[in-house]
Amino acid sequence: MNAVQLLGDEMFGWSDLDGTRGPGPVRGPGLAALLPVVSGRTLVVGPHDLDLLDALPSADLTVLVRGLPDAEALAARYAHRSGVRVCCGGPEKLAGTSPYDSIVALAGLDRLASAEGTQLSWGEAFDLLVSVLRPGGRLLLSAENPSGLHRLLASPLPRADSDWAALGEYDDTRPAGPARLQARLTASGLRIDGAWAVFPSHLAPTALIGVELLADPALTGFLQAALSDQSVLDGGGGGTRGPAAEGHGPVPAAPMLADPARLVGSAVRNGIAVELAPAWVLLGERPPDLESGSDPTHRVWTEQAGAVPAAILGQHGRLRQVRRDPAGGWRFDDGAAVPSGRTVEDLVVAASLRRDLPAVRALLTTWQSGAVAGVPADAVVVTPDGTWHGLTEGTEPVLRRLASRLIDVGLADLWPAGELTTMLTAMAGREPGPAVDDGGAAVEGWRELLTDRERLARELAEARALRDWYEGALTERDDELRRLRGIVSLLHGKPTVRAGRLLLAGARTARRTVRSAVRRLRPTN
Amino acid sequence: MHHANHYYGHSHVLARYCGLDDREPPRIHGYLQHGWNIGDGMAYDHDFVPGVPLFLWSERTRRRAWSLGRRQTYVVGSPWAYLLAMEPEGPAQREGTIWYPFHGWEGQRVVGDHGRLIDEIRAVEPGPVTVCLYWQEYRSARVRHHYERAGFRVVCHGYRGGRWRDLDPGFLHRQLVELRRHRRVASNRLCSAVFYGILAGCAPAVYGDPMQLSGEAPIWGGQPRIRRQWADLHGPQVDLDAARALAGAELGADRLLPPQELRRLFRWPEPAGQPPTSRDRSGEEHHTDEYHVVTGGGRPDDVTDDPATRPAPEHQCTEVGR
Repeated sequence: MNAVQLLGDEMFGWSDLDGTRGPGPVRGPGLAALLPVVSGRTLVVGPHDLDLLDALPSADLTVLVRGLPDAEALAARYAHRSGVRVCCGGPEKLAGTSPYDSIVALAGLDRLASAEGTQLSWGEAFDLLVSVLRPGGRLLLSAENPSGLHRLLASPLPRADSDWAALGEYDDTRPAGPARLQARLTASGLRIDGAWAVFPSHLAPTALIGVELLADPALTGFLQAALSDQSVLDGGGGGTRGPAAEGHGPVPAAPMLADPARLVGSAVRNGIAVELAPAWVLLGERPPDLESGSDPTHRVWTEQAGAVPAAILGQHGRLRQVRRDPAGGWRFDDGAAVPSGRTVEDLVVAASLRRDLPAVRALLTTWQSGAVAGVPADAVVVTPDGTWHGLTEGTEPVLRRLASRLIDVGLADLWPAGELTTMLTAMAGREPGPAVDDGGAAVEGWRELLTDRERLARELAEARALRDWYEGALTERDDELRRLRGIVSLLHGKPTVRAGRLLLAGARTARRTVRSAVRRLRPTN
Repeated sequence: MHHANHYYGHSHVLARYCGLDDREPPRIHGYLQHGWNIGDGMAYDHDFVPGVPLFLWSERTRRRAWSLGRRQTYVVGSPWAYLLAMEPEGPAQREGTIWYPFHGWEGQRVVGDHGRLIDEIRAVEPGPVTVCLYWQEYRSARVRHHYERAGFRVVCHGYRGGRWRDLDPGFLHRQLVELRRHRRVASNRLCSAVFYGILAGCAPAVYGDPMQLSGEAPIWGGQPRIRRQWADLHGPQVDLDAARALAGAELGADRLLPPQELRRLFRWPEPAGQPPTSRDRSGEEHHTDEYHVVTGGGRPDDVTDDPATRPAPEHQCTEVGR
């Protein structure tokens, strides 16, 4: 068994990997797909999931963790790999060590420092890593975005045991935003060879989208569909991973303030998805020092167009990569072109807001009569040349889902309450069938719950008002009916009978009048 | 609130610092760390009520305590650092080494070879040696005479105090006077006393058989971890600058609070005026305490070394500060 190399400041009894005292290790097959860029003598710093470590291609691997139990577990796991060294302690102990060909810090720089040692700022930790990167070496670095979607939408969470001195966004050495982050790497002598925005969480990203691809306005529909896909969102697992949630399955997360799919769709639409990404992953390379004769031949990856993926998407258990097509545009790794254009949902919403119902009708009809009728409107992209692409698996009922999402964007009043799904079905040229509840918000974020509550409150008030009106109208009609029945009764029968009834009715009326007059004249107590 | 807040006269020192009557220090609303350790700062065998504040010595201990799930942790610095702040050192008259053999606490027994330890002390220490024993060992004539026969001066700082009984407000004062008499402070385990000595101007050393407590189970990594983590403080000669920096950090000498902040934190009252002090602590009267009598060559003490037997107040003779 490989012995753990104790650097000092190791944390006794502390584990980042088991996820019981903090958010757990960074994980996911999406990140693993980036690891082929790693080669040569490699250093991994911070808590990385075992599957990520297993995926590292390097034969000469050093893993640094701060918790002693983590280090011991790693040493046991790699006992039979002679090229693996497991170190434990604070990162400052790395200073002055012989440089590495590759450094992997996909868990970011916030969880390197030991409670026992120096609390390095982001900038100090970054400079430290760069100082042990040899010329020609590569740094694969993740940086969480304090203003990322995952933070903006998160319910307040108690601070974790790992937050003993977490500076977070108040660390003024942390580059603010993706542009400054890239500038920081460049200023440290690194060349940026890749930059990805990761979604839906920095801990378990299921989508890594290159910033160039993300900035392509022609891909708005594709990006919206990809990033709001439920399988992408569910795989994020941004919350604390409990001991029971092992493996890579969906992680139960705290309720969010709003539907992340809606916000990420809006961010893509408005061109700020990079700025609002939960984190960024950068691949920086320290240029070879030609004067010192350093040998850059260890590099496996070269700067050929398309060598690094422009996007990595994990959807429905399948990992797809996107690369730039030298002929223009973008292609999946199976050769299919990435469709440009807008989603059917975006087009329907825009047409509805314009109250261009013929356009809405045409869109719905074409959608529901085509091959992608079972794919949700938010996952169907219509290209400028009129081809339709379904980007996820079919689900039902798609029209009810569309109605629900129209309510989310404030179009509940497009048709009478409760009729949205039915109307959409009719406009799509399909038999409406029995009326169904529109369902309200599709996602139980607090924003959607509030929207739903307001809609239901309004519908309830309207229903009560309608009931009161029915009540009044019914009473009025009852009174009228009673009066008419009396007249009919009086006029019914032979003339002598009618005369007798009129006489008796007149006598009864006279008696009631007399009694009433006597009651009024009598003195009362 | 907790009886351990009064160990070694800690609450008395802090009350004096806060300008309050240190004869009857007010209740500290929280748990005050009473010794250096490598866990969350609290005694592992004490019960603590969740939600009650923990007053810790150092930032490192606070970080560690937080990582162990402790919240409401506040760094106030050690009472020793406050005492030194109140008792500036006069002209230095230092000589020799004060040596603190590792001791057990109440109910514990140390297993080790005192004879071999004495040989190591003789081999390392160039000048006269004062051995400071914990009250349990001090009351053991066998152990005490072991060191006396080696020609060492044997002292005891006193009894650290029980459960609100037999408190000893002068403990730390006696320890300070004793430390300032010596050039070096040494022990076979890194402990509070060594840090205290460094802060009081002694050159530290940690060497010799670290001994074992009977049935000792290493907590938070035990001695191997201490020797690894604080390697700079181990050995017969250590770098003094590094030692001072470490001691200052571990004792929170860089984190002392102003009296008004400390009073608020402890929920102590504001001082009505200048309270009377129990005595003048700058003088030598503390050294007339019977436990500072040089016992080398003296008559054997007839006190039993049964650790379960707490000494009568007039026989207080504990060293803690570790």
